[in-house]
Amino acid sequence: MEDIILLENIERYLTGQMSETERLFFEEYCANNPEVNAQIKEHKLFATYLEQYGEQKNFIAQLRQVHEIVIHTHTKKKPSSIVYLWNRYKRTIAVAASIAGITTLITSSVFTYFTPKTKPNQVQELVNKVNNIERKQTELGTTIKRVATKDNEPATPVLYNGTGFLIDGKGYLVTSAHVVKNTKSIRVQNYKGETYDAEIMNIDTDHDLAFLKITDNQYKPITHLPYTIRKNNIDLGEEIFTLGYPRKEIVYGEGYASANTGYNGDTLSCQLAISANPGNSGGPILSKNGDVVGILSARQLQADGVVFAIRSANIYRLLNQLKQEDIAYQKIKLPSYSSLKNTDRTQQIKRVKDCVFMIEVY
Amino acid sequence: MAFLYSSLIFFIYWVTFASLIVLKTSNPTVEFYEKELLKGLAQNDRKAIEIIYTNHYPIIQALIISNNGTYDDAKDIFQEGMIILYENAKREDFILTSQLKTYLYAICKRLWLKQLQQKQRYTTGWANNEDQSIIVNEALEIHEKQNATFELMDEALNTIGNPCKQLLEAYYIEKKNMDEIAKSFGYTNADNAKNQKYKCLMRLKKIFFTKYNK
Repeated sequence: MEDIILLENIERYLTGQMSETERLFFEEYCANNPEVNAQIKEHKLFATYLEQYGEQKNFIAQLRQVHEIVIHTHTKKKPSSIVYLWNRYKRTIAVAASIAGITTLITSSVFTYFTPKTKPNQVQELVNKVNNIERKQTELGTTIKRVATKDNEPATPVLYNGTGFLIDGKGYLVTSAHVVKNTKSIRVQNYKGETYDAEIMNIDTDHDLAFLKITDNQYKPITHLPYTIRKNNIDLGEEIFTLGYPRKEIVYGEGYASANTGYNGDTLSCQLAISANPGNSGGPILSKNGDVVGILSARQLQADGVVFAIRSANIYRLLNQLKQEDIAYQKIKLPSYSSLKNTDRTQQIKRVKDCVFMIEVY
Repeated sequence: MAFLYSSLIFFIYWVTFASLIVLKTSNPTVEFYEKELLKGLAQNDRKAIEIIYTNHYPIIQALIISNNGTYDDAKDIFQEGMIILYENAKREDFILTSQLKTYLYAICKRLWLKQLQQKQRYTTGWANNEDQSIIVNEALEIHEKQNATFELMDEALNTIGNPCKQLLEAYYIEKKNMDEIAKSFGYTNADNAKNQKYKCLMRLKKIFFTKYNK
């Protein structure tokens, strides 16, 4: 038999494609040619190998595909177990959550109840709010005095006081806006105790500045102010001093410029290290050469000796703005020459204190 | 502070209630179910492969990852384990004596251990609790032999080159008949294709058996 035909027969024999007679004939042929048996065996083995090889390849290909699917769906399937747990233990979770919620509420309310209260404002404006009781006492005192002196003029109680200073000898003053806000009736008093009526010309709460004008006939204009008002910025470490009325008496304080910005980085103001108390608000901050570099406005509550002042350049800015709007302001002339240079501090104070007033708000 | 305290309380509650949650693990129908799965696997059934894969891959992945392996290692090891399972599932005398999970775990663990030894990243703690079950040893032995044969087959098929390889694969693996093959391969008739197939088979056999009998 030819090789190719023999192989075909072997294959047909192995796969059972032969008919009964063919098979018998082929088996007889095998018996006569024993070497064919070895060929059959070999081919059978080879065919199975080849078949299994193919199946395994197919299987591996399937595994790869399944792997991709499983990796993708596995990450998505995860929530389903959570959903299942949620559905199953919904009630338990709800009870647990509500108990936890109630406990949280109770504990936090207990905590808030017992925590010591902190004051919300960190910066204190240095206006002297005259104590109610004190006011009543003064009132009482003046009533008695009035009775005694038979003075008919009623004394009006002081609500706030602060400090202000002249920017023009004709009777124009500058003070902090927060000193004079919410009022119309103002009186100013110099260190000698002479009191004059004054009125507010302008309040700028953004810059915390206010212009006042002394309207009293008794007031004698000062022809020449001893200090100038500085246009440029204060230098860090510059020696400064202030005069103000934290008491009924004029009080001197000195210190230095400690930072270029004010509270929370406010660039309109600067930080000073100086002692200041309620009543100092609106007071002038003077450099050692006797020019006004700022207007004292507030202090930080938690820190010691941290005081903020509005830069003096803001006076110029505000005044120029007002001059354009209203012709009345054009009368104001800021002092241009300082006579305090190279004089000693006590001399400086003597001259400046004429121009520093206590501002009383009724 | 209040927040910390309350979250602590919440945590305690959560732990208390979560401990009530107990998952069902045993199921009487598992055995029957797994037998059916193996039957499906032996027939190369896609659904069966998917189910086994989904249920058991995460455990094996965790095993490999926690023992110096990567995600790719996990994939390779699990797929080799699946091949072994497949080979065994096709054997008529194969009986699964343990749960499918245990079987796959043991095989994959052994495979990975072997690979670690080869890469000399051997971890001593692991060798001690090495599973010496006969069924695993046997399965691995058969698998290795078969793998060697298949590698030879792969090599031989690649040596004979493409028209031959495709022809033989179409006939012996895809089980197409000669008329179909003649048509798709562009032979004028089935006899021509038969002739070509014979020549190819002879070449393949020669290459394969010279290496196989060594």
